[in-house]
Amino acid sequence: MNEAFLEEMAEILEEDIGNITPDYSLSKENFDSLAIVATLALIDDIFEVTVSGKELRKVKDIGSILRLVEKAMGK
Amino acid sequence: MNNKACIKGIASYLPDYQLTNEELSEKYPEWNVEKIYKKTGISSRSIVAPGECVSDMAVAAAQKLFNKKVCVKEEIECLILCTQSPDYFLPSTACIIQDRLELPKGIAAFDYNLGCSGYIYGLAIAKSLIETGIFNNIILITAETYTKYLNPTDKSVRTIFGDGAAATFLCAKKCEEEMIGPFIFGTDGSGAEKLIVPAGGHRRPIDSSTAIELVCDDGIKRSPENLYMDGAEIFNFTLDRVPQMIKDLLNKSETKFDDVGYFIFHQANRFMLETLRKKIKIPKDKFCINNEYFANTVSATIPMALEIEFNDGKIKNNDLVMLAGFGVGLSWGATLIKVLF
Repeated sequence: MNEAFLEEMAEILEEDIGNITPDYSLSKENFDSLAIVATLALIDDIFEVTVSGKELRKVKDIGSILRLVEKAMGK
Repeated sequence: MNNKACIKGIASYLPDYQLTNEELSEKYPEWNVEKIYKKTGISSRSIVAPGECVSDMAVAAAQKLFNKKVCVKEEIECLILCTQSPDYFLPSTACIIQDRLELPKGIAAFDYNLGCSGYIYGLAIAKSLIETGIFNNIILITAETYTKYLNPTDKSVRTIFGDGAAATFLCAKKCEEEMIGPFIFGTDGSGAEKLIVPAGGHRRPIDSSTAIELVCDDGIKRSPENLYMDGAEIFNFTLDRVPQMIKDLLNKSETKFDDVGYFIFHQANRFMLETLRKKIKIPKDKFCINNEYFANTVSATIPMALEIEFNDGKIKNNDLVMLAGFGVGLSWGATLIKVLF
């Protein structure tokens, strides 16, 4: 699990770091257009890959974001 | 000695009404004032009054150039307008502006349709016309009223876009060095639907169905007559294309990265600009983010930013400045300039 990624996700979601786990649930309320764009920037910065905005909009939890990243990295 | 095109002056116009973060936050309580500012870097946006159009703003901006004595009406030979929100389908809004400004009837006037890359194109067109000897003095106006296209409930774009116009005077100068150029351009029309007003043209004319608002997949209500922006995909496109474009321009111009004195990119929003700055590794003190009070005015952001940075002393005459525009189309372009105000 990438600590830097989770820390930044906590910042984006305005949530306490302790609450950010792979099961952390994402909805239209907490994962809005600003948060999605911020997450794209974060993924580009940390993992140096691009994931599709359309796919990212569909994810339901943090773990799914990491699976999208792994797919983009060809893992 | 050859004639070289140079940028001699810029004047901007912003509509009176300021849409503040406080007002937006009242409408979208889930986004507070601090959050809107932190994410966009924008405190307020200028919005046209009902009935106020691109020609009105363009006339006001150009009139400021004359008032500041940057140029006189009698010497103008060509008027170029970049807009995607013209007064009419036809005639060209540039023709209306010629009449309203009482410019000589012996001038050329035309519109071209581009968005955030529009200022770079305008410089390329003006340079070509001047350096081939067709004209000596050109006014290039970039003006948009994008807010007319926005659904009032669409917080994703209402926080970002503002209306405004910038008029740039370009003229021929006898010298050896390049004052504008070279250029890099790029186009990817496969991304046309990422930033689009779907209805209102001939592909989908306005009828009773086009005004119906539907909830889109981002949870926001829009009708096909409204502007749709897939912010995430536009952001990805920017991260993908802009750093490469900057490298290509440095290679083409045989310029070292450190020799560029200042960078002015299309002022989309602070978050996008900061991400690009970090990715391209541009030092903070060489990078312009100054649209706090004019927001994203599409093709007008670069000249507006340039005017402010010059007036603030961050750019001086003959400094080497890199300009880059990117967005709707998808379309992108970059160039190097030296101003001579």
